[in-house]
Amino acid sequence: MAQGSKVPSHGRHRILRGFAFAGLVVAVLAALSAITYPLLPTTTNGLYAPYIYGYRLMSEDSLDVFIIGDSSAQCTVAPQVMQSVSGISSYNSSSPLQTAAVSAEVTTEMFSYQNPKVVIYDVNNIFRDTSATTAVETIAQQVVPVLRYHDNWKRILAGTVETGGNALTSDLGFHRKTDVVPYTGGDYMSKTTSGAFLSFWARVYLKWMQRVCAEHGATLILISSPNAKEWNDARHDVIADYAQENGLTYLDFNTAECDAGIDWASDTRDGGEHLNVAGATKVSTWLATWLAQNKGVGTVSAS
Amino acid sequence: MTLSSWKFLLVFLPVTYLLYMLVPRRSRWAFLLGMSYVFLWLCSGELIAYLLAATFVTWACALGIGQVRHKGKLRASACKSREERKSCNAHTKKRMRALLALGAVADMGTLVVLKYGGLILEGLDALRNLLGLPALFAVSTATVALPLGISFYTLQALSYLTDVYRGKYEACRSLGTVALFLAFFPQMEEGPIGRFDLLSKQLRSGEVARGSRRAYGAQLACWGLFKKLVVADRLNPLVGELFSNHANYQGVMVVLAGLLYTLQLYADFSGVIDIARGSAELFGITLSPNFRQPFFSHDVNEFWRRWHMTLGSWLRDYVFYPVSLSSPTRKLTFWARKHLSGQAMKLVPATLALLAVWSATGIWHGAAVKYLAYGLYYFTIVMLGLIFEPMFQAFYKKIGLRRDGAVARRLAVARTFVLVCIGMVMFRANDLSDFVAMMGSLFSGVGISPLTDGSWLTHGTDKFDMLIVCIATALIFAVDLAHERGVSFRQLVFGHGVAFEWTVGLCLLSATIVFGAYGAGYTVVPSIYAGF
Repeated sequence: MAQGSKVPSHGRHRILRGFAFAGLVVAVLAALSAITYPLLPTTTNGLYAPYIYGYRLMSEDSLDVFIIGDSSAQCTVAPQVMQSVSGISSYNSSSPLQTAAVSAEVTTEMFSYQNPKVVIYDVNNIFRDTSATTAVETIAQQVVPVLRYHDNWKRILAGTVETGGNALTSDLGFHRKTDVVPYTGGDYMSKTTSGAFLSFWARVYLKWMQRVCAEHGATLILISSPNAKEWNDARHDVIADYAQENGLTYLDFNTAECDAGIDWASDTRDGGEHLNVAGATKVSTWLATWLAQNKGVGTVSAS
Repeated sequence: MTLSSWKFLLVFLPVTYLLYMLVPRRSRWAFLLGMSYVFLWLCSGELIAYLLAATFVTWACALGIGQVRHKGKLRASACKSREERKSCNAHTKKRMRALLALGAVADMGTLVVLKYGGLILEGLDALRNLLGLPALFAVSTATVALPLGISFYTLQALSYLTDVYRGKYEACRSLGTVALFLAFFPQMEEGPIGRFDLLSKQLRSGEVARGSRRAYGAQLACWGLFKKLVVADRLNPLVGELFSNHANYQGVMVVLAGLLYTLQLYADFSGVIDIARGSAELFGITLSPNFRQPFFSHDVNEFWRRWHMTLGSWLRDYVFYPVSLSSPTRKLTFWARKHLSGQAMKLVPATLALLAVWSATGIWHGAAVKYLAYGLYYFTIVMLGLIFEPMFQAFYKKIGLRRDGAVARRLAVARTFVLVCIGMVMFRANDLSDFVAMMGSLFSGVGISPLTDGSWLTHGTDKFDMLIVCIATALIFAVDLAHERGVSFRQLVFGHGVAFEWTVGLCLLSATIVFGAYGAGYTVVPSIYAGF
């Protein structure tokens, strides 16, 4: 095509048709997203978990502490215990298999409803699925919500679309279990494991959490719940180094420095991966006391 | 990266297509080759070395065959006597055959070692145990990683070598063309198995699909994705449950298992083939169809001419005909004519070739006894059909039913479908003993209550999933019926105006996005035939 010549009319026609079709695709995706987007987002990583959005139903700006992570955190930090120990108002938005991408996304959304002084992030999920593929899929789902909520056609057909009424549980997100299945494997921290490094996207999510907390004047605290199956020294060192580089507080309940008195014979419900209510009470009591003494959140009662 | 993944459909394919349009026409084939290798590297990593080696060996051997033939012709024309010429030709043929054997052994040998090596070693070890011999080395049962498409490109390489040997066409001097023929990325995952004479000109032409051809390619790919995500992947959890825990299911549930797996396999395989063909259309390349409404077949022979058509035609051209025309078969035919009569005289010579084809059909699918049994199952049906053909003719005559009449033909279609479903149960079962157990339990269940009590809808596939599967299956059947009546996909969608084309496309896209089994709560289901 000679310089300065116009695009032939049939070429212009094709380009316009292309744009028109693309526009229609965008319109269709927007319409599908509007239809399938629930009043209360109902899934996290495939599991029906409306409770992770329970902070929406609490009084605005009523939270002192926000907890987020995967099932480790969900079974470790009990808001009711923290309330009774130090008068701390908190909500636990953790859920099974929650990815770091979702943790960062939910934390960001939480700040639209609440303004906690402290955000506690259990970093167990930072070593799970922080690939570029997951990152792209998460971003795509945020931009085109039908990609995340497309399965809601079942709830629309069944007439069971979640309206939010039962998202706020009495345990405020904590997963209460009384089963006792002891862990008898001995020292687990010195076990080696593959994948004990922070990938590019893992750092992106951690930076995201830091940024969103800083923007809202909240202190980000990293924790590792007691976990004999998934935690070890290698992972501890990686997180400890990151925390030191970025001026963050890191509490590892698998170490002597943060000894909450966990008894692996009686405080775990599944052989060491998750705590039961007895173990969670110990950790939550320790945490609530520490927050009151070190971060000025809540007050420790004389009893 | 699979053909049904977003990485391929939304990143790799569009980027490749856009860059392809910008590359000068005469260089497009080289660009396509480069992108094919990028695709294979992303899928198989260093295992791409096997394809590179097979490409070079195949090209060199074919070129060698061509040169030996050419030189042989020149020498034969210079020969003074008939005897001398005959000897010269025999010598040329021998050298050509040696080169063919070299190429075939290299290509096929690699496939056999990688795919069947473990099974062969286990078999030898079992024999050693039986004979009470001492073990010379430890036999590892670890699975060897296979490069993507090895079962497909090996057959393509063998067909190219054989066609050059037979003089069907000249050997291609361009290594790049042979390389692109073997590595063209849309066909690496599940085929279709291409032929050099049909593809080479298209691959070198540098054509780009524009306008309606591009739209057709995109819509065909979308239709394939719809079948894969909405039907095949949505059925996967339930089919997995019915086969993995078959001891918990009897009677009508075994029937359900066979039906659902047959549907899953058809939707999965034909879906990915449609994605492959649709993708190839974007580059102006028409790949051979692999399915022609297989469930409208009247017998299993016809079924295999309509199902995985390119494998069937490959086996016909490179196994059935060579075995039929081979010296042992000719001797057997001669002996049969001398010593047998009637049906037996016709059957005995055909048996060898049919046995070879059906054994190859089974073994090609995988290194397990059940796959060989799968091939022999069809061999048995075909042989029984041939043996009892006179009796069937007499039976139809006696009851006064025309075999080419509507009733008989519909019964034949139903009968073929049942036979195919039984074969599919064998194909999917964990092993032969599981298949036998499932067939045994077919008659031990009572009534249809296991189906109506809904308990089977609690294993990852619920009533809503089945509703969508049923609607989608009806749509697939409707399209197949249209094709059977001579109305093509292109005719169905195109030629009715832009508004209609776009409406169909947007509806298909919407249905795939909303009803597809992907994302949270679903595991990614690999393409079934990619595993072969």
